[in-house]
Amino acid sequence: MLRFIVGKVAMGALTVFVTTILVTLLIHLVPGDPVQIMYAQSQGSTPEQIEAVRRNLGLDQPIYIQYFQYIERLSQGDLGHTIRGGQPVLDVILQRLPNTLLLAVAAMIVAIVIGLPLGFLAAYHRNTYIDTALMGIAIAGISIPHFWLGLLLLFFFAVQLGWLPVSGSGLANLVLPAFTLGLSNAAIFARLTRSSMIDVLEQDFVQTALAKGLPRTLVLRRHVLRVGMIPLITMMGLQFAFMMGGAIVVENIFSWNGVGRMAVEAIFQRDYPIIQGFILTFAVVVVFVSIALDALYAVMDPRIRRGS
Amino acid sequence: MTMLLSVTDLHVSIPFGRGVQTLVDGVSLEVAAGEIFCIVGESGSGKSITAKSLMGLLPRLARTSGTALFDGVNLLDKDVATSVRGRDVGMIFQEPMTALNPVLTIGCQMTEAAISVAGMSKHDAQHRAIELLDSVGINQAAKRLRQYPHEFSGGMRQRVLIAMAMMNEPRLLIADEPTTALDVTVQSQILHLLKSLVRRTNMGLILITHDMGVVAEMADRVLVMQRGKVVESATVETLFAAPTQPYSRALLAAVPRLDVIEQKEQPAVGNTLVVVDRISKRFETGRRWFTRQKDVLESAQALDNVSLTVAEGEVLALVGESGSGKSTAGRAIANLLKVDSGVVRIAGTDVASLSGSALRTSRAQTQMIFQDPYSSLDPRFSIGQTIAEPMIIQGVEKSVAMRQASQLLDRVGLSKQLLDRYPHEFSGGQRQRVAIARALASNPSVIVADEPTSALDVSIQAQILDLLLALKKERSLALLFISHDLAVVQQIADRVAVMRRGKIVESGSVQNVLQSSRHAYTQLLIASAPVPDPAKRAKKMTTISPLPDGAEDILQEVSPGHWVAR
Repeated sequence: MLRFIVGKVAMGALTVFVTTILVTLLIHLVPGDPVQIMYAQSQGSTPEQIEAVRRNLGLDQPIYIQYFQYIERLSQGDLGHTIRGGQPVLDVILQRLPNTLLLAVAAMIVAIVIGLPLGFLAAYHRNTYIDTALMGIAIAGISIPHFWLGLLLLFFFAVQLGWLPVSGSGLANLVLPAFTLGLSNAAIFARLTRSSMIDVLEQDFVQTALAKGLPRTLVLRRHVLRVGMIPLITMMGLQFAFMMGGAIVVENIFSWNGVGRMAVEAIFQRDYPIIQGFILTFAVVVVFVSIALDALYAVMDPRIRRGS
Repeated sequence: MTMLLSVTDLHVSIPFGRGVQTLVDGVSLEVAAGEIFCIVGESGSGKSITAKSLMGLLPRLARTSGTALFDGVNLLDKDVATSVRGRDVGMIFQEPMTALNPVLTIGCQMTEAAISVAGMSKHDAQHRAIELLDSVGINQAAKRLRQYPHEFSGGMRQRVLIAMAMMNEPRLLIADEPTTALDVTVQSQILHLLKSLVRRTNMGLILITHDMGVVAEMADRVLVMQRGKVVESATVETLFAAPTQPYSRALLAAVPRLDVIEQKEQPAVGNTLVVVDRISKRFETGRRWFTRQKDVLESAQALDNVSLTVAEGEVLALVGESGSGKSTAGRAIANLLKVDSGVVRIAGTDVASLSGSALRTSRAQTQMIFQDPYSSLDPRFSIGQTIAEPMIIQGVEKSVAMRQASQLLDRVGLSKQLLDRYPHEFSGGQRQRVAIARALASNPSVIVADEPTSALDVSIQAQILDLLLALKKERSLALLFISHDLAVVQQIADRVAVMRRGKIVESGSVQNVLQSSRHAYTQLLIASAPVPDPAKRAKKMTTISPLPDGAEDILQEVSPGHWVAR
């Protein structure tokens, strides 16, 4: 168990390490001079000023020195300063990150609450019209892009029916973005749940449980659902990462004040420190969530918990 | 005698394509209390479907008709079956490794039905579970209740499953191939356990099996099934002494027998082709990073100083139970595995020293045939492509390779017209013939056959063994035949090496090893193998006793060519 978790943490640390390298290289991957590009939109920057900024950012050093400097600052909790406004990037991100996490968690709940039961239902009624209908809907759900679904929901529930606000940052404002992000993931969850549960339904121990005379509902709850959930937990970790990515689009549609919206603004303004900080934060969050879910996986599966 | 269960005219069918496929076709049978009733048949005979229909475990789309009266209740009736199931009729299955839920403790799984259906208190249920685990031979039962299935071996799991089925004191137990997945020594223990349970509790036992040896060992009465129909129903003595139906006779004749000694012609043995000299191999199973102890325990010694030879035109059988290292030895000889120490020489060349084109040539010389013909053929390759591929790799022109493939197909007894077909269109036996043709394609001098007939029905097994023997003679192949089945080994092998825990404990000619075995483990294997003759049943059970862990290391020659570990 401990070994399993330690292994996962080591993998996570490696992921973050690789991300820091990529983030450093990022500035240099963009064609042209990064400082020129960053300041292209600013007025009145003289060559001297640009040279000063370059020195300031350490961009006149060789890349590996830049990397060490970046790591050094990072270890002090310094993600640099925004180019526009000059605020500490960490502050900007921490201010907005809770909103994004709230959105992602809410969407996750929507996805689980809708997707799991539907997938389970489809598995139980596999190869019947119920299964076919549910999976048809699921495919449609997966195929609809976020931005379109978001606009549809906005149009019906906010504009036409007026039930929910169009944008803003209260709890009522969370409903539409959470559903936009959650519904397509619910469709993915439904499909994953279905295949996982079908696998379990065909296992011998389900037959054993039925042969013991257990009521079918108890067999489904205790034997099928419990075992079928284990692989789903890992999938949820991956799905959460995708959801964080999806949040970027959804936050922009609904003007939700999260890091995704901030990132898009930063990209338009070529505000590299923010983009770097954003990428790194995302990596850390995703790694953290997947370690947490892997730990949960280990707890649920005695074969890992009790080591074999 | 009052009947516990009487099944009359049972039919089971499922929708298949546009029509209906009949799986069980008019089966009638009766089982009395205290009786062991065997249903025997090959794959597709409908024996398992019959059992499952009694338990209400058929797929939802299946349709049944007929009656199965148990206590005046029709078990085929869907509503009734659920309430009787588990309480009065219990069932155990073939695969103990997968028949227990991996995430629940043994205790939870044993007691849940008693608690939630029979309304027993948790304390009473646990008490009874401990009692039953004790009675099926599981030590420290109270502690074992808190453990999970992965902490039990296959044989132990089957004991747990039997104890679990006994929780509600069923009056009828259905056992569907309960020992097929187990080693022969464990099988004999489980069969013994089942028999003593029947005698003690006077329950009826329906034992489903494909193994005539098990039937002879266990049955009071037998039902022979083929393609969903009853072929013959008789007492075990009558069936074995005087089977009335041709199919029963053929089935009995196909069973290889360890107790009947056949006179074999001396093989035309040529030069020694395979020389295995003191090979060892250790598998690291899950290296532990953050613990200092256990490192040694976590690795398994698969091969421990194994030496053997095979000559041209000779069959050497490597015999042992699961985990004995016999397959590892086969893979080492086929150069599919690097050994830690020791040398494998094929025709004088150390195979480990080869690389590049020399390695490829040597690979062509040694071919393997695997156990499961369903997974050893690429489903996307036609049969012709499968057989021609090794030749094309060796640089044979494609048209020539295809022509030779068709000749090989003909040689293994399949029609040339089948060249363009794909594996899914073939039966298990036909696939194994294709696998043999593929092995022959590169014109090898050594063939390693790893349990090549274990996945096949007994009548097909006989044909494949005959084919292998004929090919060996024709091409003077050196054949290493890996098997767990002593009766099959007796039929095909010239010499035998018995393996246990990575070591060879006894080796010599078939006569020496199987008829005058000297090592206790060989004797245990022979005693455990079920003999397909009900008359020889009585004297056997007493002879089996657990074997002490031998520390023996050195093979000594007790008579010319007969080596025993001391």
